[in-house]
Amino acid sequence: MSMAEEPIKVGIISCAGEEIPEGTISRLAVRRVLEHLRPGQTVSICLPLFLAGNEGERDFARNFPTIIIDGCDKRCAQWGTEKHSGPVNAAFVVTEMLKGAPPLSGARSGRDLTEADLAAVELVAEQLAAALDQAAGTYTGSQPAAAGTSSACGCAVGLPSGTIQVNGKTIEIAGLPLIFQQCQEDGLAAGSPDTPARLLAVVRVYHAVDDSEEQAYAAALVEAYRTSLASDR
Amino acid sequence: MAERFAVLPCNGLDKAVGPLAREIALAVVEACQGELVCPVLFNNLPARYTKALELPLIVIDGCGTRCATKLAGEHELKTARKLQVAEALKLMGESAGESLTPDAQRLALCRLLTERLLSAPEEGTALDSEAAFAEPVEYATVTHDKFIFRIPRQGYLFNENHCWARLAGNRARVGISDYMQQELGDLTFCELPEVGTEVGQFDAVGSVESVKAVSDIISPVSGRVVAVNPAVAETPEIINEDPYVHGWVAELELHDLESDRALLLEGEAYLALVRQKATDYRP
Amino acid sequence: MAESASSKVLVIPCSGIGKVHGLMAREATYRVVEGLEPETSDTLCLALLVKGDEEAVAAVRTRPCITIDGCPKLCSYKNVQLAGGNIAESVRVVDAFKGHKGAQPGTATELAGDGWTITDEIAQQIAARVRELCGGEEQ
Repeated sequence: MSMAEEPIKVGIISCAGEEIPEGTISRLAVRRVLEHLRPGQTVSICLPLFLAGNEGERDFARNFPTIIIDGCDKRCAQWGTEKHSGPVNAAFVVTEMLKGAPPLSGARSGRDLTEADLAAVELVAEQLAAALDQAAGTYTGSQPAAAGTSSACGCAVGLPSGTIQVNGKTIEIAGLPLIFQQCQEDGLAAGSPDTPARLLAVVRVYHAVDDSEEQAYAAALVEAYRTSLASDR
Repeated sequence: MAERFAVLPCNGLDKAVGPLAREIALAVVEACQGELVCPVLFNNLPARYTKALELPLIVIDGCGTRCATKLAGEHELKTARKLQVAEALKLMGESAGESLTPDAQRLALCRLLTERLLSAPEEGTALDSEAAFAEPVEYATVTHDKFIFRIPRQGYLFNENHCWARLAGNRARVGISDYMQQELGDLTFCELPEVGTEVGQFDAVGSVESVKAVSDIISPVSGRVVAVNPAVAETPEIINEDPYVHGWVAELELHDLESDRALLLEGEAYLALVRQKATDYRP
Repeated sequence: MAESASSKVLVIPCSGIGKVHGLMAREATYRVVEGLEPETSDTLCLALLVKGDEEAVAAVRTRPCITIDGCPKLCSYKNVQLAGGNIAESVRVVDAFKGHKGAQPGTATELAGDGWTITDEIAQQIAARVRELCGGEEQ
């Protein structure tokens, strides 16, 4: 699917809390992702502007995958985002991410950061970048997205996805669990003669199916639907 | 000698904008050594202000009810300049707040609005120009990530340097587009051209500076500078807040609009350009 | 004379992440509360205040606050005011640039020489105000 090949922009909101060193770490980690690790794939959302009601910042967080990085357990950025724009794709807390790492120096100003502090920034940034890839549906290395996590569809809001086996290949389909749920609510039986065409027609709204693979897709969808119905009993 | 004005404010007492209108009126009167017209007394005893109203009149309304404007209309007063505080604040992305006592921030906004009211185009052009360029503007938008770029649908011509000319008869005001002001970021300086300067199409007619860059303002049209906007030299952020209306930089008397127009983009065409540029936009 | 923690002046930056001004607001704050007036000033997380944290809200209502905003959006000023804060001074980083035509302050990630110079000037201005607020009993 050509839409899935193009990286989706992901928003990152950092608390940048002023009182604690972890706030500085969170801010610098986001800048590192933005400028070096995933340039062109990330949109940093300014938390104070977001909280003050900026339309552009809030709309982006509402409509695109968004991940959160908070300095501490108070999770102000997560709270603000969920309040004003809805659920987030992933939320991190620096204090938790740095458990087991060398302690921070306690510096808050950029003038005073030590090598250990900068290493902490890098550690946090790498984890954010991996989360960004997951949220966008693009992958680094050989790690695929876990089943049931967000997939990259056209609107990129992170629908739950499911997989089917077509001609020996694993195919991920955005919204598959929801499609099955809707069909079940409509009373569609797995063995009904209409089921293959019905499932195929709905899936085609979200996923390109080559004409030559129609029958294989239809059969795979029916099989997956049957399994889905059985697991619900 | 600086021009003197009579100032007729509204008498809003129960909304936050009313006290702001009063603050601005007092500041204008003090700055220009003008005459304050009390709306209540004027309504009851207009003769009291016969002498004062020999001066050009500034009308200041707090809100959309426009009581001062209505009062001026009832007495067939000619208005030289007007201000509607709530509308002006909205254009700036500000609000009057809730309190009937203006705070430090609101008083700062009053000072800004006072400066704008008093900023004086060249004699003989101010009155006509304000009316000519007072038409409300309707915008189309281009959204890219979290950024929203506005483009006026009509009445503006653009060059590929993201500068605009807004036409009114044989005059045009020029400035920079919303895309350009966002690309530059918060403006810290704006240099204005001299009144009387002859400007060829695509000549520089001033410049703007931000922390990122200095950029010439490239005039889309040829003409002679007949007025400049000192408010943007004093407070360049006006251009960031309102690039297409209050953020105008210079006003030109046009030489050859028809020839110039052939090399310019109308609203839809400029919209398409911004849509294309937006994918490369890096704040 | 050192102020008790409960009476220190609060210096609250916007810390806007997208612009160099936000970084300058943040660094100016640290210069004041850690370097110039550590005994008489402190800072506070703006996001914590917006979240409605009781301690943060009580602090801004009972102590004099100086807000530092990077840009004219005034996020710190607006949010502190919304929380009912006692704002003694509102500072804007962009205004400090008026005395530094042609300055190259750096980026939102890292300040350059001009950026630190202007930041330190802002910090000195704020520190002076902190001293006024602490020293003037009639405030």
